[in-house]
Amino acid sequence: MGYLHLLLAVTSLGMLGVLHKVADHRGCRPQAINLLLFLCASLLLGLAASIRSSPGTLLAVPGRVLAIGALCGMCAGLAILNFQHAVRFGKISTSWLLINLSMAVPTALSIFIYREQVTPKRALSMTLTVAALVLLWIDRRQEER
Amino acid sequence: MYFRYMCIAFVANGLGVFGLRILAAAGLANTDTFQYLTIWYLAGAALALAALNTRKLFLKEWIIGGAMAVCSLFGQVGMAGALSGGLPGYVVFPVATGGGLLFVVAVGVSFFRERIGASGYLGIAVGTVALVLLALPG
Repeated sequence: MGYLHLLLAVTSLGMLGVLHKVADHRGCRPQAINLLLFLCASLLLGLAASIRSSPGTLLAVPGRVLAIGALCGMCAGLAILNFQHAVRFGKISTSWLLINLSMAVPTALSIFIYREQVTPKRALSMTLTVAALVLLWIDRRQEER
Repeated sequence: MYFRYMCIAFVANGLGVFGLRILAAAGLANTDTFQYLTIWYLAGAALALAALNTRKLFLKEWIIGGAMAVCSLFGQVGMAGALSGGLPGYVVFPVATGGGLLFVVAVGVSFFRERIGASGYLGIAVGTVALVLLALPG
């Protein structure tokens, strides 16, 4: 059962990337796709949260959680909006990798702000991230020539 | 234009997921993930609504946007189910991240006929290894 769930995760996360390009091919507006993606997901999650506890739980969120969630959600909204615009000019195969590599940002922030330990694994992954970004930049430059 | 959009998307997406780390540092790590994510998605929807210059939404946008929301949630549900089904985190996170990425590359090249140069393929390979390392727990 665990492997079936893993297969569901792989195909769902992959399809999410593919649908960004499908939206562009079908002439969908980035703002509309962004709105419906976030709205539908919040409705589904809100429903799940209400079933798990009581419908009023969403209103009983601590102020700090609300502020952090709202700020970070807006950042994510801004990210997807710009990503949708970018996909119009670029390839989904490399753009999706770039958006996934942005996981290096919270890792770097955790190291600088919270003084988290720089393990050899983390150092290697950050170095490889920079190398991948440079290689993708070179690929894009070659394509533009 | 591509670089400008991607730079903003890269930084903003990274900041978007940093919230969970801030919560942990603020002693709020026991916050219900469902509650937090609902607020997170609602805020994203509010920003998108502000950016939308018309109130008219087409059926194709409803279908594709809704499907993306379902895929996004199924991705999380699948990972949670795999973990609770007994698979270790060092298998689930790297496979879900790297596998999803390779799936997109395969579709991009085969269905959308995207041409990738040697440096592009090398970048994808190096980037996938970097992501798998980042996704490994511990």
